[in-house]
Amino acid sequence: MPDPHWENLKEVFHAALALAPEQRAAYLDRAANGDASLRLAVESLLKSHEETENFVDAPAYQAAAEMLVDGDDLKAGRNIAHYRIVQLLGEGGMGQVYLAEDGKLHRRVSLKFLSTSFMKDHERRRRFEQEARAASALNHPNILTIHEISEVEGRRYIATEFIEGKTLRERLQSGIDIDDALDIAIQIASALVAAHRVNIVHRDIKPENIMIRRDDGLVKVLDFGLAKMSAPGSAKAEVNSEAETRRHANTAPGVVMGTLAYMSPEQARGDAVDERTDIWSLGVVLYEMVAGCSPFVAGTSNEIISGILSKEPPPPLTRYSRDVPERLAEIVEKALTKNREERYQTSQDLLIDLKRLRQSRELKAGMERSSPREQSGLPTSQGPTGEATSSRPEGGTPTVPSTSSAEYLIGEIRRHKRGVVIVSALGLVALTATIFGSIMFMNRYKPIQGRLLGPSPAMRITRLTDTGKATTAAISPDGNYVVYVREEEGKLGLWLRQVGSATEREIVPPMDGQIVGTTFSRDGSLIYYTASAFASPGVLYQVPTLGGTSRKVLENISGPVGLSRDGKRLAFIRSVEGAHHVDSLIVANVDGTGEQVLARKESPAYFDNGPTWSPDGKTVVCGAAVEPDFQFESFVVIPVDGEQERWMTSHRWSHVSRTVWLGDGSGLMVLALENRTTELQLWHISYPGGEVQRVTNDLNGYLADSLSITADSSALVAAQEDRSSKIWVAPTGEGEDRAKQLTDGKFDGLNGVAWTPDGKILCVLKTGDDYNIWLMNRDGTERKQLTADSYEKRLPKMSPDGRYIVFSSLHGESINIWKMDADGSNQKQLTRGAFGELCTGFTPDGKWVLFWSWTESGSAMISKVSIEGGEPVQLTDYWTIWPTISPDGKLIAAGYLDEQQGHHLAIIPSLGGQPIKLLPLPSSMSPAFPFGWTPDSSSLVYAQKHNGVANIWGQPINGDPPRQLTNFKSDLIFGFALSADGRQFVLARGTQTRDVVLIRDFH
Amino acid sequence: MESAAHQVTRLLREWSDGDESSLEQLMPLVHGELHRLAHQHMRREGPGHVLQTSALINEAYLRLVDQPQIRWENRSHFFGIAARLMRRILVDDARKRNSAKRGGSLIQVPLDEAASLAQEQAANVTALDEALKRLEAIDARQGQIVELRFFGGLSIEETASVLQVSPGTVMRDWTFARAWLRTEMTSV
Repeated sequence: MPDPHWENLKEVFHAALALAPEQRAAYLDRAANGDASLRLAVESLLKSHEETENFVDAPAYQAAAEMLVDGDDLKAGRNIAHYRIVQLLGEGGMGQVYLAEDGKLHRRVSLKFLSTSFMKDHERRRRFEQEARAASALNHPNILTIHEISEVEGRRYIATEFIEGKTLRERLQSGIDIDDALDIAIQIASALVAAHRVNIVHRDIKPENIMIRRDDGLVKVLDFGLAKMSAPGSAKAEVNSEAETRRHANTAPGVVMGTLAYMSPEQARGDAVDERTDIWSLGVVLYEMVAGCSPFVAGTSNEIISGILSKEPPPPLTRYSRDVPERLAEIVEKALTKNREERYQTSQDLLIDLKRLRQSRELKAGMERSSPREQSGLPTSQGPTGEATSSRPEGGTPTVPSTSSAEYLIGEIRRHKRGVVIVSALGLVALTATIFGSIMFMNRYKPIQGRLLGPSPAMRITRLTDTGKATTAAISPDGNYVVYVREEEGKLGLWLRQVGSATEREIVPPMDGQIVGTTFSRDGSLIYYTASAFASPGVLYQVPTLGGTSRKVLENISGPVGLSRDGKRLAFIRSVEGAHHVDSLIVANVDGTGEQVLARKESPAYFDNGPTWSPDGKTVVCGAAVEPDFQFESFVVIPVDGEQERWMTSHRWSHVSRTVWLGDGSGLMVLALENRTTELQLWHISYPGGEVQRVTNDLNGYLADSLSITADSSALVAAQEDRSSKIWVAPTGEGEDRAKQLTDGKFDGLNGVAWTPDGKILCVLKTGDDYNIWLMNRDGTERKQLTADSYEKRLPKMSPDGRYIVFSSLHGESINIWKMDADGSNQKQLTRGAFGELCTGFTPDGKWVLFWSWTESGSAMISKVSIEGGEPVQLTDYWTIWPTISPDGKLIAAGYLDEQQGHHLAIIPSLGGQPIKLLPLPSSMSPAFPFGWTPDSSSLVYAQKHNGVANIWGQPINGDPPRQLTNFKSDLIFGFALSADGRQFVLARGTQTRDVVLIRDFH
Repeated sequence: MESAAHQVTRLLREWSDGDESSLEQLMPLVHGELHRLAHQHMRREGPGHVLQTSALINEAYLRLVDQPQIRWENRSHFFGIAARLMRRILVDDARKRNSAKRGGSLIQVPLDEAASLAQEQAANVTALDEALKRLEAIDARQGQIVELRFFGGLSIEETASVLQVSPGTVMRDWTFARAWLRTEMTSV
């Protein structure tokens, strides 16, 4: 039943609309006929009609369809690209954010899907991606890492590191004391310094964009480069004027006010911004942390803007509390100076002031207590800011910070850029080295080009050292001296030896850490060496050849330096590691000044360490990964004058290392690794022809860190490694006389020894070129070969029910977990991670296989996979390796590393999660992994080396003193397992030596 | 088992025969199909492609409705349902956005100024929905026209053929309804 008033209203409206605007008033007078409300209604309808234009037109259609695409939530468990959705974390204007698991890398990530409407604005999207990519190159502990920017099913997403914790906004609610505030500000400032260095301005520093990790208080700044990219309706990120700021603030009051309070005056005015804007915003954040309220508190956004723009400085911090140090108030005042020319000019300056303040407060606190603080210091006072915290006095002996015995735990295992692990173990090659070393040794296929000839018949190789502990050698240009690194009880010293005599002297006393390269100056009077603490960037030192004090030349370099023929210039690589790594090939003056970047390689491309100058000084040669897939390496020639780089040869190797030029410029001698050989060999490359010839084919491989040549090209110096391992059984608690040697090969058990549930021995033996799995009785009889193929296998373990054997094996590009039936039949792949997976055993119920793997970002984590297959379950999301489950199935012991506490043994619940307990690493732990447990689950069992001899020890997890369980008088232990009754060990034992060799008549 | 197309046709018929409960069964089926098609389009065309709601509905209709048994009314009913669905999706989403809280306890969501636009739009959609409900109470046909045009994305001609009135009538009603809705929304 139509309403007559309504019908009348429509009639009059349409009639009036049909008239010219100027005739409408007269018509309405007549039609309304005194009905004021009808007249008013029609008038307002007509007015609305004039204004409608696009009202209720296009946007909603599209919006509805777009919402069909991105409006609804992805369900937990859904697989999208290689991610598995875990849960929705939140929604923002830019899109939705999920917690997800990266199926490839087995890590948790946060996935942000960008909304369709956002993606439609091409200009905005382009700028957004450009900024996001720039930001993703930032590699800093205080900056949230961007893993990936990609697209799936028409939806654009960003995968970032997942951080469990609170935003600073949430943290502010519970009050922050001054030292914590200072620490948080220092970490934010460190992040800013890193970003500003590459000209990325955050533009939106505020408590919502700062996360504090739950576990350790590590601060992460989010959304670098992204923050302001999503301003709607305009390709420009910033507003253009103060008026626009105010208008914008008024249209969406709630949202913008949160941001306004942190805006710098120049931002509010709509001026161009630079890093000083971030300094201002950090000033506001620091102010708020200390005062408990923003310096620009106001009721409306207009008042906030007025407060920011007024000449009046905010009330001084000292007004809020007497505890606020005068100096802190000054720093904040300087950061919050309205005129940016008078503000801190760089974030570095701000950072320095904040650090100084913290230091003086710590000193003061220490003095007030009148007793020194505990050596370890509090975690908050350390601040994982990624900045060097100690400076070394010039001219003194370098003391690289101690890194405990962790080197033994992992050697220097560095996840290299393409999923390959580079190993240079310290002192002794760890079993890990064997295992990871060969990951890179084994590539699926190898193009063979060039002539491969045997060694020159006249070649003479002379050993210069016989300690078995010499590495990183170099020969002086005149051929009279050799410098090398000698390992003594875990410390490294630099030694000089006169060639042709037994005279030796120590020139740099033993220190912790590593020495990764030695080079003589051209006149032979100085030795350059690169030293670094574990997992830290290297520092280049020079020391007089005949002894004296070391002097620092350069910081933050990777590997050895190359010297130009005139002795005036250095060449070296500087790496920024991480998810997105960048290697720069840099040349500089010998005193470290005048750095100039010759070339850069960004992931997945990379340089190998150790560039070399050509004799004419016009080019630098360096190893590098070859496009398009970066699976192989070769040598690239980079002209110093900026011309195009080119490959030296078309030959490709699995891995290349150091190079030296022959003096006449006719070619290079290089260390390189051909496919399928497991050792580096010496090669010759002709120049400019690029013809390749293998010069050595030694059973003992060469170490990657050493290759040098005399000025007359008559002699080379390198370092060789020899290793030998046999399988032994030994009763617990007894001496060497009761132990029994079972095998007599060269590499027996190096890749793993284990007990079967019925007391037999499962092991890997090398026959010919192949590593296969064997079974034998505990007296060495009835040997049975279970596998017979050329895929290298490691760490076999039999399931508790005796049905299956699992092992790690390399087929194709990555090492993964495989299973087979106990008789060796029916091999099946269980995992498919991309970064190397090593199984360490079964859970006692036999249902799960425990393993660990590297992650793309260079961390390591523990996972388990069902023996039936399926997706692995991640157990830790922090750096953990070599998990071993206790026989009662309750606990996992694993190697553990974090930035603040260093290396430890961690005890973790068997279902995963944070460590229950951290135990110190035994000193001089022998390179034998994984750990074991005693059958009653009360103690951890490990091998420990003392004076070059390794024995097994048991460490009760209740913290009681460790107990020695074997009593060997010689040799090292590469691997071991304790029998289920706790009475007998099976061991891979043997020797390992590294010595310097002199090579003559090699060409 | 009954095929999806057959089921949709049956439910449409039942609904046009006055069985309101069939609409509730129909909604998820149509929603699922629209959803699938929208994704397919996005995959094919890539981001930045403009999705036409009416094209989607047409495609869904062709896929879902059992052709041999087609009756003319089915089509108009189908579009009516689709438009209503779209409205529901939009309004639900807008409500969600209106009440969206910033940040989670676990992780910070990168909120930004775009949120202001989204929230502005969201507020408009809810306000429009409210106003449209009032309009529907006064003038059902005008309400339907707005639903088909604004949420269903139909042209004047398509709307006219669905409602079986002349395009001129649709045009008049549409013009009036827009003015009325705008007045209603700005005066509150």
